[in-house]
Amino acid sequence: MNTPTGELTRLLTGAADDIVEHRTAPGPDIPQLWRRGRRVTWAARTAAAGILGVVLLLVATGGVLLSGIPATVPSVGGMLTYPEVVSDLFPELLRTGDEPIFGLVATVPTASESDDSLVIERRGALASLGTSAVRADHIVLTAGGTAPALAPDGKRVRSSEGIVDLTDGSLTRPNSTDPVIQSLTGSRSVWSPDSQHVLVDTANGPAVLNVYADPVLTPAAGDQQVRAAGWRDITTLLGVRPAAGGGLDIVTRGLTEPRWTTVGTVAADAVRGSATPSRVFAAPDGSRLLLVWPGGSDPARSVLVDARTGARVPLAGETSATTAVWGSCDPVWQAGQPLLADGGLRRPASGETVMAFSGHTRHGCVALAGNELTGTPAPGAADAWQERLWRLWAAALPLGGVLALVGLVWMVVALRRSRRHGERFLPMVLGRLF
Amino acid sequence: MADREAFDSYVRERWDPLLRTAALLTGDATAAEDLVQESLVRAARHWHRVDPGAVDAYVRRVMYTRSIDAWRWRRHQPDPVDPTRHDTARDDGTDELATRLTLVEALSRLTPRQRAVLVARFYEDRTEVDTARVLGCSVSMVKSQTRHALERLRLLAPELASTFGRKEAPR
Repeated sequence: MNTPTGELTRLLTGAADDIVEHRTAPGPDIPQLWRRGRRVTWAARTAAAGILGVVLLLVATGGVLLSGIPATVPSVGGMLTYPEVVSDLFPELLRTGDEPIFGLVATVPTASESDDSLVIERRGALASLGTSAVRADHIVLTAGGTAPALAPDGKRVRSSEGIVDLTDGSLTRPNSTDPVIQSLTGSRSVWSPDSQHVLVDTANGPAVLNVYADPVLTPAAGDQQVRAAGWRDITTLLGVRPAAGGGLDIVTRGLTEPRWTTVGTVAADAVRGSATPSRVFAAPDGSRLLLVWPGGSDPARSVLVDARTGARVPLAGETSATTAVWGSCDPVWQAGQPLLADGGLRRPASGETVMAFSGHTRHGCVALAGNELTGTPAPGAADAWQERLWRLWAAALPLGGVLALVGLVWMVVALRRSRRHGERFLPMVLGRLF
Repeated sequence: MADREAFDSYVRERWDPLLRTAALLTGDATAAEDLVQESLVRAARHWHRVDPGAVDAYVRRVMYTRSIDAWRWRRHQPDPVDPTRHDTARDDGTDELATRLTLVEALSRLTPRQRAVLVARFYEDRTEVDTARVLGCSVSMVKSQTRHALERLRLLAPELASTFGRKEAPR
């Protein structure tokens, strides 16, 4: 006697025969079945290769775009741009060590905010410098109301506190704790072209410190008459002092030499017989000197001269009717010409703006790395925004990849669920992909 | 080339048994042929990866999975309440025919998974463990699906209750 399940097996076998034996279709077309299978295989492989190609193309495109971002290292060279307009509406937080600093701008102190400086980024934005991503850790950079001197390599700054290493925010031998250094603290600092020394113009004459704030050169007797201007090369100082027969002597002194040596003379008529200038600035390459007298002392308040011959050199756009009025800020140099650096960069003779800030906030002095503006101007704020968009693209690329992965997982899960429950979670077009 | 010959040989040899299983899974000869062909196309796709000693197990597993793949397969399935679709069945004028027709009608009203479990267990005479392996589910799922399928068959075809009225012993 059959068991119930045995009976069920017998009935199922008969039922299968009933269905199959009445079919009218011919047998299988085996070659076609094989071809269809292989076609699907190749279609899947082609689709996979296509997807891989698209992903590689996207990655390559992103790489090309990212590589197109101008470098921010001043020494990189001719590919640099500088912003004509710097956005100062939303200063970001820049971490120390992220990149060499292009420039600094002093903020105007208010009742609630003390003296400080913000970083100018080449892409046309302002940032405060911090040792971490926390805004409270930001480094305060002051220089007695002006912008602190920034080394040409963009990695150190000479502030009122001492020499600050911008790669980690550390302060090298604070001024206040060392009496020797305190005696050498002057109102103005100029970095050597190799960023290894800093010239300090003190009341007793010029002094030089190294990057560890150790004195390398101290003022000698009679140096009070010397007005230090800057550097002729990485080991030679450049300055002026009154000449015996009127005019000014251009003097130099090597770091290992005991005294200043006259290398040229600025004729008395070139300076119109004025007394010793109150401030003297050397171009970063030591080829020119800008002599500035206090306002009101002479109709010609500033003179640009060749540092080798003492001959007068006209300021760009200068006419007999123009008068360049210099404020308290050190000039920034561009192609051998000094620029006014008060609240932006302007040409002294023509008043043409070279770099401006987009907002309505008042800014103090601008100091660039090595006091020199290099590169080509980026046209307006659009270039700054273009650089921002590139950065956004760099952030969006991995984000897009993650979203695509999440979407893929979701589709697979939804498809499996739809198969299990017989519901159509995905559109047919997407469903057929799996 | 060897793959192609092996595939040809397999299809010629196993077409009919596969078709009979597919017929019970779909309840319709045309849909059964479609199901077997789709499974064989899938097998052809991955033929170079399939263990030559387990080709039949692979194809059957594909076939069962596809039959359960409800939303894809549903459009190929005949209307389960169509009273005329089995009128071509062999009419030998006996109660046996009526019983088989009733069984096929009742099968068509089960869920695809329940139908697949019953076919694997009682037509192909597989153990619960083997059925679970073929269907890609757990043994407990096979047990519960078998129990529910038999209970539903009893409701759909009370006249066949004696055929599957008792609980079958687990194997």
